[in-house]
Amino acid sequence: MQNESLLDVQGLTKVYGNKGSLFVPRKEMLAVNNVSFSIKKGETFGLIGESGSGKTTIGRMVLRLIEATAGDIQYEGKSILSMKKGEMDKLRSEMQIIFQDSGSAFNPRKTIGEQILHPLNKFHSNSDAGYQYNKVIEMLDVVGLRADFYHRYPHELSGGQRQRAGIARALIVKPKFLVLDEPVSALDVSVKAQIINLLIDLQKEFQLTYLFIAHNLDLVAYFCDKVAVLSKGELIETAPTIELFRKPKHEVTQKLLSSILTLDGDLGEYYRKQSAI
Amino acid sequence: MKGWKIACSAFFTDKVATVGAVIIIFAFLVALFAPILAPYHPNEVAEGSIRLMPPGTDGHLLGTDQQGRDILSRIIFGTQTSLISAVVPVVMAAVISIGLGIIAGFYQGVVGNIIMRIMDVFFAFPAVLLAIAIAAILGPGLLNVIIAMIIVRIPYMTRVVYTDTLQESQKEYIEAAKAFGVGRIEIMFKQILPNVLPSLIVYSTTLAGVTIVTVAGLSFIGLGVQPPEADWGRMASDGSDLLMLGHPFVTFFPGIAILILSFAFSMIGDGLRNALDPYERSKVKKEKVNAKKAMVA
Ligand SMILES: Nc1ncnc2c1ncn2[C@@H]1O[C@H](COP(=O)(O)OP(=O)(O)O)[C@@H](O)[C@H]1O
Ligand SMILES: [Mg+2]
Repeated sequence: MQNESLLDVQGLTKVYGNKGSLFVPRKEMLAVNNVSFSIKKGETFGLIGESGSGKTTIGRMVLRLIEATAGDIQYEGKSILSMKKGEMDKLRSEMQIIFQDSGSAFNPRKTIGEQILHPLNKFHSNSDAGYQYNKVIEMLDVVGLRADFYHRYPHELSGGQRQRAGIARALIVKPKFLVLDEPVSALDVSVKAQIINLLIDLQKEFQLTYLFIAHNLDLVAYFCDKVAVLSKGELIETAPTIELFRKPKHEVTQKLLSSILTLDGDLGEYYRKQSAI
Repeated sequence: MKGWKIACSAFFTDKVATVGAVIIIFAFLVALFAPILAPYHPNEVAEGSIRLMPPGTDGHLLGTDQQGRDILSRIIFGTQTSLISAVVPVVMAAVISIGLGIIAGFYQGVVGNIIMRIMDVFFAFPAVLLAIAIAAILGPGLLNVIIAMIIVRIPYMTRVVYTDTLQESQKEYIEAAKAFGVGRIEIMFKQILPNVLPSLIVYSTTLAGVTIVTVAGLSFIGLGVQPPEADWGRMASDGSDLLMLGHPFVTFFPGIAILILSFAFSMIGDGLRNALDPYERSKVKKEKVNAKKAMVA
């Protein structure tokens, strides 16, 4: 693992709300408040917090899907918030996102293949149709889907299969950085493990850096190198995973930890072993 | 199987829609070949014809009207204006509403507010009254009635598109498109449009049925097609004085024609929805495959 940082977030803040008009009263809501963290190349960075704490908002701001109210985001040392649209669009092939709700992550009226092909077409419009088709089939194979999924519609896939297709759609443009916004929260336990393992394999294969968003610590020990705990829009604790599990500083973190320990008794043992190393 | 073939079989699994489609196709053929099909000129009194001949008279299947013109021939030619008044206003209003509704729903904010507040103003008036007012201001004639109907339908259709667009804009596939740097125009018209179109089409077919009746009503009160042109609404109106005088058929036949055609348009809605929905289409596809397997076995 290299020590260079890929993403540096400084003082990121988001205020939702309308500016107010003749008909609608002014209303503002501080969703993310002065959040700073940095993610190293090849790392999996966990962002944990209860529902409504602002995790999705942070993930979307980092990809500039929504505009930040204040703060700075540097990707490989370049400030992306000040980039013009053209410059940002070029960078978009490097930064991608996997969604929580695979059911709405695909357009219901287009085939899976069409939708994986779309970004490829966007970034490599000069390559011919046959080449692009083969690329899609190749990528389906990488995520463990058969070629005949190309012609299927989203509703014909299970949640796990759709999540795989979502990963294929993100990876086809060869990104370096992925925001995983609760990628397995909506899946059955057995499927959860399969998708997480796939993500771990892909990380090795394609040298990916992950920002992993979750609302509990269930998979964090297994998956993340570093964890940040978010509460009501503010980061309350950031630490390497092992440290956070051994010595949770904040009350919220302790609560999150206790809920996971009751679910999985083996975890305490896992960490005693880890500390022995 | 080709996409459009699957769409067709999905459409025809709906019996009601199939009947509606058959009636509409029949009406289109009648309108197209009216000069060949009609036994007499619609606006002239044939030699030897007299006024108000009863239905079943030799040479006049549906009888003659108060001027002695053949009612069947006039109904056949009237199909043309009825189809035009069903299809043209609804299609034009749909096209405009798609633009307004998607833009309002996607941008929301100031743009969306302005568009939807203007629509709300139109909602304050009953549609038929508004149509009468606009048509009266523009003056009589089919074209002006059509313009009036377009204006009257736009607020309703825009509301439908707007609501659906609001809902679709929340979905993550829109976010996914943005993450690839897909432009707003492309998101609105290539991603959102296919998802809002089906419910608009279903709504449009219902409106087309209603519009036939409304346009006939405008003709009835003298605002639509002008004499001596054949028009179902006008025919019904001209015959209304004779209803109680022993000649109900002068009004009855065009009235029935209006009802049948307007029902036919309302009937095809669900079939079109099935044809456009990948979920329904794949159900049809599976049934076909299973049927084939059953035959082989
Ligand atoms: N588009 C929006 N407009 C206004 N408020 C929003 C919007 N999106 C999210 N919020 C609010 O911001 C807060 C954080 O939301 P979110 O980032 O989705 O949280 P999380 O992903 O942690 O559940 C919530 O209170 C939510 O209601
Ligand atoms: Mg969220």
